Amino acid sequence: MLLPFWQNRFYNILHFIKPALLICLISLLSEVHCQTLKLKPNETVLGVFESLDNLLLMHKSRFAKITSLLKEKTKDLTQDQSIKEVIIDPYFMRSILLYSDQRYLDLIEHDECQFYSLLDSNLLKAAGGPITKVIVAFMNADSNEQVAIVSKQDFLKFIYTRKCFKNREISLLFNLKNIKETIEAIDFVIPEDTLSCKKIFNRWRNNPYLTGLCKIPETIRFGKTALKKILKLESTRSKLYRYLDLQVRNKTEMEKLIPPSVKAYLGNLCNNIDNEKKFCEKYLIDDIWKKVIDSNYPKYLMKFKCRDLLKKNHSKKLTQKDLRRCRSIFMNKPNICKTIGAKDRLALFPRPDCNEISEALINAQLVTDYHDCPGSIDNEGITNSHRVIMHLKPRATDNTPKGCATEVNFTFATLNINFKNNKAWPLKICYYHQANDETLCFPYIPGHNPKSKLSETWVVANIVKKLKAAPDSLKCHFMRDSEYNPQRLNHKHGCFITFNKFDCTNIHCPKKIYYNQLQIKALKYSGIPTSTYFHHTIKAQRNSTANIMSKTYNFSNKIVRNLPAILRFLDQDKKHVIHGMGCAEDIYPQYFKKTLINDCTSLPFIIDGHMKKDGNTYLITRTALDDIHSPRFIDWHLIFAAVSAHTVIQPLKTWTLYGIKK
Amino acid sequence: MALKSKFFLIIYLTTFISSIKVHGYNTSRLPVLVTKQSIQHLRLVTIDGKFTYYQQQSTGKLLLSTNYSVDPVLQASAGTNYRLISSPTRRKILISMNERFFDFIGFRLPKKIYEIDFGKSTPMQIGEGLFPMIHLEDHWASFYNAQSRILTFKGIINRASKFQVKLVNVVNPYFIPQRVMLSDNKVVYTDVNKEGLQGVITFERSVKKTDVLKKQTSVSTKIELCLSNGKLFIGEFGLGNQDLGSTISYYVVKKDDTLVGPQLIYKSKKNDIGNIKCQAEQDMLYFVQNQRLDSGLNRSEVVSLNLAKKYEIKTLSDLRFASQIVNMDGRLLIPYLEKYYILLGKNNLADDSFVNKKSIKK
Repeated sequence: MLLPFWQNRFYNILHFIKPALLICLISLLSEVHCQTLKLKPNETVLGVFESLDNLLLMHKSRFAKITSLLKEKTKDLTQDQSIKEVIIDPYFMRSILLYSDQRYLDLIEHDECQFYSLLDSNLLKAAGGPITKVIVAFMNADSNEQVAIVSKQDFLKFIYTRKCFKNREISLLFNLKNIKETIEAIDFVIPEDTLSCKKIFNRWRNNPYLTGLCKIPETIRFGKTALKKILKLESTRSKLYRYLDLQVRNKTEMEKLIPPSVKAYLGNLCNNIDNEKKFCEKYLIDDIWKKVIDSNYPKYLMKFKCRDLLKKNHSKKLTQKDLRRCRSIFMNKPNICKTIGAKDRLALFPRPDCNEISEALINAQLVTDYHDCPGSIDNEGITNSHRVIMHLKPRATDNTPKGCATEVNFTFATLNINFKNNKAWPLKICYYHQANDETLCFPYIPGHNPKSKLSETWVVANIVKKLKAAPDSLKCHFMRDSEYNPQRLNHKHGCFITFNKFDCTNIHCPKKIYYNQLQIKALKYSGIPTSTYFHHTIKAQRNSTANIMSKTYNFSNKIVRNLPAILRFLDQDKKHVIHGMGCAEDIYPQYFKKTLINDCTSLPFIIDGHMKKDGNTYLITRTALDDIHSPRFIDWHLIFAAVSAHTVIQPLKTWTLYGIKK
Repeated sequence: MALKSKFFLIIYLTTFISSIKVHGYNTSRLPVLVTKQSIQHLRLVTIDGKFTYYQQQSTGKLLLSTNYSVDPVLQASAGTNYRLISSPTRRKILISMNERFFDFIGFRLPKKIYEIDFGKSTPMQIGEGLFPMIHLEDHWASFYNAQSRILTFKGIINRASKFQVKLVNVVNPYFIPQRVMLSDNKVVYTDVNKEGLQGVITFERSVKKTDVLKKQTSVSTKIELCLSNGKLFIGEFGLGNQDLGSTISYYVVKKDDTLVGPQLIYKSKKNDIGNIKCQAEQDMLYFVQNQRLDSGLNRSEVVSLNLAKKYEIKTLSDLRFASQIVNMDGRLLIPYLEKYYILLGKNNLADDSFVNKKSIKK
């Protein structure tokens, strides 16, 4: 017998060994068990225990044999009056059951007419793919059972003369001639909550038009697949080419007739017709668009994007219906946010998708009741300062693509002029005054602003009055060169300043001035804005944009050096935002490459929120290159690297990341 | 010490050590570049460390230091920032001068561009634009004007040669075209069409003909070009948080400038950062790969792709957030958090010995 000490040691060890032994035993047994179930190579088992793959393969090859045999036994059912009843051949039916989508098969239940409706709408498939021909069984004149292959159209025509009469009407409603009117008459209701979604879903499942509606996304899908296949075909004369070409044409026609929001709605409905949860998921997730529609979040978070999407004029107000329509498109086609409005308001491209924007805006704090255009300013410091000021003191602005740049320049110019920092805004229009034999120059702000006498239109009008003895009431109009047409009556007289939309920013904007159809070349534009955003020398500190803003709007720039400080600062107050400057190549390494040592393109940005996901901390950031309504998630490490790299190139080694604290 | 105090000390130390890692002060096994002077002033240091171009922000000067003598290269207002670009041929250097670096933050502001003989200090202005590049064994330079969307190619040995290509791009104002010259007559560059899709275009100067070599199907994919040893490498990388994948393929450049291919050499399901470097070493490609973990934790490292070893991929860095690679006269560096980590080349910039005439390759 072992001594108590050794007994104790033994039981201690056993305590650990037992579970280990058990695990080994279980895995060994399961290994043995698996070995007995595993088929040896070349071993086949027929019947119930055959693998689905093998069953399908065997069925497909047999199906091909049968259809080739029956090719000679085609039948025109409408011609033979002796045929009273026709059914789908059981083997063909098995093929349909094996190859059709389960979600559509579930709709059949006990309704024979629903089956024919699905067949009519191309929602069922057989081993040969989409069904164009049907294998049928029928009794001939001698009461013998026969099998033949018939066209699907003939088969359905035969059926609809004897039963399921409504199907024929529905089929007519959803042909290419009538589909547009049919769709316009149907209400595609967006669910608001779980209960209403359940009701809507069940209503759709019982809707007699369902198969006709699901035909739409399937036609588009077939067409896309056919397009890929057709590009690989060599011969354009083959039967296959003609078949695929028809699919492509059907798709193109369908896409022209059906609005994108309906396409997206039907895509979600038909893909999830057997899954209520998945259908509702799209509409019930926590998205910013729903929160704006429910007035839980400010409208400006959505209205500008929605306006761009619907191409609605700025003078017209957006209705709740418009917002709901936009939400439907944002939810169903999230990639659309990458490109909408990109041509009118130049900014970093592509923008984030709608889902990312929605997630970011839920956590964002920046007030953005305006829409600027960074690519038309070409000075990231000015763009960023305008955004900070509009957050602190929002005002009504001209948000049209034509007027957005003027508003940004106006903010910056008045900030510096009021602070008596005229060096920051040296923009002048000059002309040679013959009588005085001198060049006279006047400061101006580009564009048209009816509230300001520094507005370019006002300054140019004053000069033209002196140069051309024009009447005192003269006003100059600011327009794109594509809009100016001296043939038009209202362009024949007056003053017009024209510019090329694609070639006009603060750096470079060649303009033409016309008075009574004659171009005036005597005016010269000079100067580009000059200011540091954060000071880089002690001398520049007083007139740096950050300092001027803090003095004018009465806030302090509180330095934030690390992530906990950033999170704490943002969480302290819903109005807190952080502005900073870093190297563009570190913030956006996918967009901008470093090619040499100390390469750094300064880029101001605003951080107004944060989010944690998968262990990463993201900061909701809008750099001065981004569209204001398209914030991005940037990993904190990239922001830190960007600000660090920027610090190195600063003479004073200043850490350029500050919280704006009132 | 009481047990409670020990416990809190351990907690504090653990937190402190992990917070260092969180803020990115990683220790790496890669050597850190050591220089004689403050690294922030350096603009180009040759592989042998004998020629150093550096700037003085306080005076706005660009200077050349060699053999204990210092020569001025360019002079502008205080705060001027210089960018220097060289190639493996080591015959010419391009200099981009930004006099408004601190007082006009404009990504698209054109800068004055100069060319200079390698190791010399007499510049000559060749134009104004952005992101200059050297091509065809330093016979040509190219630069881009983002406002007019014109890509200019200018001869820097035969200075009379010049031609321009206008880009279609109207949707992305901050798009910088990638470009390579296959010969005096044929260039390959990237452009963006009206739908925002990037593509690779070939342009034949003699017949003024353009052709589309490749076109993307998604706006969220970018293209990179790199030419080396008769091969044109094309990298296609997804942008944004949605994984679209990445590929690198190459075309063989024949003697008559025709391109044969593509041959796929790399594929990934994730959106790599890219930033391909192909001229540092024969048969080796370097780029930044997305190595995000299965848990979703972000990670990106510099990897090499060995063309001679069945396109073997090897991770070279251990910084977790490596995002750029810089080629400074054959020395490959990773800039990361105020340091430069050496991937390729010697750490010999602190060497004080004299240069001999053989150092300058003709």
